[in-house]
Order: sequence, then C-alpha cells, then structure tokens
Amino acid sequence: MSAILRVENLVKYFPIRAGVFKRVVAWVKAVDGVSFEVNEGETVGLVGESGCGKTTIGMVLLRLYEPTSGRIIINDDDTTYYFMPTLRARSYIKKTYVDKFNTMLKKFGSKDAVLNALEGVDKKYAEIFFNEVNSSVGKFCSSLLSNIDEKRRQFRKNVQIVFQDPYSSLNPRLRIKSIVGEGPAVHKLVKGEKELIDRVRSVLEDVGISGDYMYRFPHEFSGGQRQRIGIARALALSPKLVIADEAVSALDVSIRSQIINLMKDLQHEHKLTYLFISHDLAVIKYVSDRIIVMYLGKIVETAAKKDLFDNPLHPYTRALMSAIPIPNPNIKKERIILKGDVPSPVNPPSGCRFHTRCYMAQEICSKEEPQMREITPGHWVACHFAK
Amino acid sequence: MEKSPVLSVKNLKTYFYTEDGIVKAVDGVDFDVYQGETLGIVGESGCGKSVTALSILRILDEKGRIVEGQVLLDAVDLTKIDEQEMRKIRGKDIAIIFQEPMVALNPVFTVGEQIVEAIMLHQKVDEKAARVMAIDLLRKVGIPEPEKRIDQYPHELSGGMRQRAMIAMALSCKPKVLIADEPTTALDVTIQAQIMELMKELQREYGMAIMLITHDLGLIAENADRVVVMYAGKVVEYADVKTLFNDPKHPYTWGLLHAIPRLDIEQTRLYNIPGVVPDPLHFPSGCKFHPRCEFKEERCTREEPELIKVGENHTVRCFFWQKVDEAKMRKVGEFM
Ligand SMILES: Nc1ncnc2c1ncn2[C@@H]1O[C@H](COP(=O)(O)OP(=O)(O)OP(=O)(O)O)[C@@H](O)[C@H]1O
Ligand SMILES: Nc1ncnc2c1ncn2[C@@H]1O[C@H](COP(=O)(O)OP(=O)(O)O)[C@@H](O)[C@H]1O
Ligand code: SF4
Ligand code: SF4
Ligand SMILES: [Mg+2]
Ligand SMILES: [Mg+2]
Repeated sequence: MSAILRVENLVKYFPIRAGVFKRVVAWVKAVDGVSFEVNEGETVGLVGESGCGKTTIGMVLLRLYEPTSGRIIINDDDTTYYFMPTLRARSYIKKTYVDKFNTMLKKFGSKDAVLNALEGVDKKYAEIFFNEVNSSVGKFCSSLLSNIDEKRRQFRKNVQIVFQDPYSSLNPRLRIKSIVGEGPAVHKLVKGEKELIDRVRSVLEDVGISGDYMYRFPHEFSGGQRQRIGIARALALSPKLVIADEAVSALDVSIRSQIINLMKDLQHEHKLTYLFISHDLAVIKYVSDRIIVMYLGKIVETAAKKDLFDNPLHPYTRALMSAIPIPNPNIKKERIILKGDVPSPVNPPSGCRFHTRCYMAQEICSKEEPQMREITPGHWVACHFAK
Repeated sequence: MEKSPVLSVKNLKTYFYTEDGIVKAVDGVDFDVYQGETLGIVGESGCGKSVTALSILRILDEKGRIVEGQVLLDAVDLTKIDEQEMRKIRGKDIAIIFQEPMVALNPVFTVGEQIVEAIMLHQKVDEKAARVMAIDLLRKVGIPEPEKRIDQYPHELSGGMRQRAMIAMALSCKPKVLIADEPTTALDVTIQAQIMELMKELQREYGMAIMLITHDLGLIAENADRVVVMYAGKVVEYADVKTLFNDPKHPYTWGLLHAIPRLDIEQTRLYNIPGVVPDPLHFPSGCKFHPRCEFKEERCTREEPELIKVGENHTVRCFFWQKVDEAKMRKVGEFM
C-alpha cells in the first residue's frame, strides 16, 4: 500500500478582524497541526463535532483555502506550493527544502549521507537539488516550478470534492450536461461535442441517472438525485482522490442508504480513494477502512476501523461513541455524558484541548499537551493516560 | 388498569391550500399520548410530523387548515374551541420546543425577559418573583451561572445553551404535554446526549407527557415508550417501542430499520429503499408507499389500506403485512 495523500503538520488559522482599520485581533485556530495519510484505494473517515475543523481540512486540501503552514503531498509530489504566487512559492521551496538540505549537509558531511537519510518526496527533491541543479537555489526553484500550469491542471483533475448540500452546490442556471461536462471539456479529456455527450451520458448512468436527463436543470431533480449529479460531476474527471464532505448528511434516511451504496460501488469500479468527512460516526463506521477522530483542530485518535471500535482509547472517542443513540431498544447502553460545551477554537484550552470536558483529566492535562503515541501498530492516540 | 390519555389525536387531517394545489400534509393521523410517557413520532422529511405538532397547537400559517378530526386534551376538542381559549392552553397545558431555538427565541429580548413574560402570562406572579423563578429554571436545565446568563441575548449563547433556554421557557408553566420537534437535530451528539438526559430527568420530576418528533430511529429507540411511524401524511405503523423495533410489520418501517448504518451490528450492505419520498402535490394512488414497496400487489395501486390491528397495541397500514414476516425470516442474514 502506498500513500496517495500525505498531510504533514497542517495548520490553518483564520484572522478575526475588528475596528475601523480591520486589524487582526485574534485567530481562529481551525486546524492546528494535523498529520495523516490516505492510502490508495482506501476510505479514510474523518469524524468530529461541529467546528472541529473537518471542512477546513477538505478546503485546504483542495486549495480553496491556502494552508497557514504544513505540507500536502500527493503521490510523492509536494503540492503545497502549486497555487501560491511565484514569489511565495519560491520562498516556500527555499525554506522547506533548500534550507533543510543545506543544514543536513553541514551535519552529515556528504551529499550521499544526506540522500541516504531521506526518503519519499524529500529524497526525490534532494536528488534534484544536489545532482541535477548543482545546489543552485534558483535553478532548483525553477525546476520545481516548471510546468506549473500543467501541475495545477493535473491536481484539479485528480482531486475532487462532493459537497454536503445538493441544493446549493449545483449552479441552478446550468443544464446537467454543462455541470457534469465542464470538467472533461476544460481538461480536454474529450474531443468534440459527440465525445462530450457520450462522456456525460456514461457518468450519469454510472450514478443511476438516465442520460436522457442531461438537458434538464438542477431544480428538476430531488435532493438524492442532485447528490448523484454532484458525484457524477466529481467522477467525470476520473479523479484519484475524492473528498466527500458530509456528502450524505443532508439526505433523508432512505435516500442516504442509496447514495452510500452507490459511493461504495463506484469506489470498486473506479478504484477511488475517499476521504469521507462526516459528523455521523455510524456512517463513518459503515464506509471507512480507517478512521481519524478530531477534536478542536487536532487529531485525537486514529486507527483501523475495527481497532477503533473494539478498543477506543481516547476519552473523547469513547464519549462520542457512547453518545450515539442505538436503534435497538433491547440494548441499554452505558452513557458518558460530557459536561459543558465545545470550547472556542479562538482560545483553545491549554495543554490537552479536551481537558475542560474530560472525565479522566488530571493536573498534567491542563499543563502539557499530549503527543500522538502509537499504542498498538497503526493505532495512534493523543492522551497522557492512554495505554 | 387502562390509563386514559392526556392527549388524543383522532383522524387528524390538515391541508394547505397553495397556488399549486392542495398539499395534504397530514391526512389521517391517530395516536394517544399518556402522562409521564414519551410518544415518538418518526418519519422522513416532509411526511407531516411538524404539521401534526403545529395543528395540535393551532399555529398553522393562513394557508393551512384542519379539515377533519379531533385533538382531545382531557376530553376538550382543541379544534373546536375559540382562539382566546386556545391561547390559554398554549404554553400552559401544551408547550413546544423547536429544532432551531434561534427561530423560536426573539433575538431582540434577553433570555430572561422572554422566560419572565412566559411565566407572567399564565401565572399570577409579579415580575420580581417571575425573575427568581426564571433563574431557578435556567439552573435546573443546566445553564451555568444563571444569574448572569439570564440577561444575555439568544445569540450570545451556544446552540446547546439556547436549546436549554427553550426548554426552560417551555417548562415554565409545568405543561401536561411537551412537544419536542427535532429538539436535538441541530446539535452535536455529545450535546444531544446532555439535552435528552435533561428531558428525561424533567419528565421524571414533572410527570409530563412528551411527544418526541424526530427522523432519528436511535433517539426513538432510546427515549420513546410508544412509536408512530409516518409516511406521506399518514400513520403507517403504531406500536410500543420494543414491538416496533423487534417485530416491524410495515414494509416501510422494516426498510428504514435496515437502511440505516448502525453501530450495534456489522453490516455488509445497507438495504436500499428504492425510489424517492413522494411529492405531496402528486401523491401516488392507492397505498402511498406502493411505488417503493417490494411487497406490493396490484391491489395496492388501486386501494388505500386502513390501519389494521395486528397485535396488542400494534396497528399497521398494509394489506400484506404477513409478507414482511416471511421476508424477515429470509432476509435477516443478508443485512445484519
Ligand atoms: N472562512 C472562515 N473564516 C473564519 N473562520 C472560519 C472560516 N471557516 C471556518 N472557520 C472556523 O473554523 C473552525 C472549523 O470550521 P470547519 O468548517 O472546518 O468545521 P467542521 O468540522 O467542518 O464543522 P461542521 O461539522 O459544523 O461542518 C470553526 O470554528 C469555524 O467557525
Ligand atoms: N406553510 C406551509 N405551506 C404549504 N405547505 C406546507 C407548509 N408547511 C408544511 N407544508 C408541507 O406539508 C408537508 C409536511 O410538512 P412537515 O410536517 O413540515 O414535515 P416534517 O415531517 O418534515 O416535519 C410537506 O410536504 C411540506 O412541504
Ligand atoms: S490527556 Fe488528560 S484531558 Fe486529555 S484526554 Fe487524556 S486524560 Fe483527558
Ligand atoms: S399496502 Fe401494498 S404497497 Fe402498501 S405497504 Fe403494504 S404491500 Fe406495500
Ligand atoms: Mg463542515
Ligand atoms: Mg419538521
């Protein structure tokens, strides 16, 4: 298994401005140092309560928001600088790679020793830096920035999103053919009108909508059908990674199961990788191979689905699981009722961010931030007392 | 001993007369609500849950009319009394909390002003006494520092706290019946757990009846004593909670139970209820569920089934409910 997506230390702060001069008075720490990987062909579920930063992660991955810091690596290419203005991109490349390589060179003494110590994207770029451009900063930046338009295009083709709201995410003035066909036309995946129509018909039929409907407008469809069209639009580009942000949350129960089944079928047929974002742990459990649990801008636990459900380690994960009502009156469940509200991401609590609501908190929890630790293979948790 | 219900809804029909035609939002709904018990009303969006609640309180907009049926509160038919008498009942005997407390709370008045007004409307107390009562109520529903919070505006509270304030207001006159229309749908699950726990505590203390309206079968299973399942404006199944979940007889109920992702069982595949929720302006003929029903026969397209008694306190609106029993035997393994 190889990682199609690797996110390292991702941070996204939003400024809060006030006063006549709109000065920045504080920052919303929406995503505050998040790292994870998504392997090819798997579904990773991202779960957590409102405002914990799920959508922000999705938007930053798509570069609809610029990250504040961190790296977003896709298929061993650093895509972080793809959408930055040239000067910013150069300064990013210098800070992230050139400075690192030169520091390492001083420490290790030889290029080969540096290359040996590196792996993945770092090694790949170090080879370019030391061997291809002879340690020239300018040439190195130019090399990474060469073909940037093509890189952007590839990125826009390979990473797609399906949004929550099937009503507002489709342009009401466009026919379905234009909505679904826009991507393939822009990316020149089809030649001429005939190929375009064939392409649109085939993706629509993939999602269970008759190709004959391609000349209709979004308002002529039900919520579930619109969500199918949203999925068709994402699939039309044959993407590698699909981010589904609450893609089934707004749907009625009976329609939701249709869409979930559809997304699973399409994953098999098209070898898709999903980052499936939802606040609904039952949906996440059903669709995911691995699960990431977030609280207030940070990951608190991540594990394979079975490990997470058999043995939840973080007190927040346990509370979340116990809070979900079970549609079975024969089961009487032990419930952990958390006190208080979710704190504000503007002033997150010191130490462990969960300590204000945690039923296991000790003195250390408000002072020291717990680091991610791997308790059993693949099962990571950030709590001082997890074992 | 047979208990008698506090609130009885009998053959309720509420239609909206719109430019596009008549919307039969509620088209034959019957149920009883008992003191100290919770009646769950479950169904997908647009099936008529909220309109049922609004009809009971007679707070429909001008296009909506109760065209048939009775709403009996202690043997008084609320559909027959005049508006002035109805006003005395609202808030005092029957109170309601909504999904989005921001809509129900007035943004230009403080939380305290609104609760004080509600108290003074129905009880003979002065403003000072009402304020003391309001602070007590806010404390009771778990709002920290109620002496401070009482002077804040709704937008200064979190979603969970606003819902608590709504509950405080609804409880201010110790109603006999509390209608909770999707009370936690807008909230996070950990906050939902707090609110549901609070409602149960208050029910134990005040002995009020609760009508819990939701689309969440999990909330129903954990909180309701009896359950009404609605589809397209009609009750399609009515049973006590255990019977409904262990032995559903209506194809729609059965389908819903297998269509939801669940934490308590392993599922290889979710059941697909084919098709879509019908448009209320163009309801299908016969049984309204027939275009989506895998058990339908020719008769279902022509004739509408009545509610049939299939057990003690268990009624079903389906001609062929025995088929669900057979399917249960056959299919259980497939989805569980
Ligand atoms: N454009 C923005 N400007 C300022 N703050 C923002 C912006 N977008 C998001 N935020 C804040 O960042 C935090 C994380 O928001 P985000 O939308 O990622 O949450 P989420 O986990 O998707 O929540 P939900 O489950 O409600 O969708 C929140 O506090 C939110 O208010
Ligand atoms: N004020 C109104 N005017 C016209 N139609 C309405 C009005 N309120 C509700 N309806 C319609 O009545 C039906 C039932 O609605 P409602 O009771 O709100 O559903 P839910 O079960 O989701 O609460 C829906 O088709 C809805 O569109
Ligand atoms: S570190 Fe402390 S406060 Fe944080 S989850 Fe663990 S026990 Fe709770
Ligand atoms: S009456 Fe017919 S169509 Fe309606 S639920 Fe029963 S079997 Fe299905
Ligand atoms: Mg979101
Ligand atoms: Mg409603």
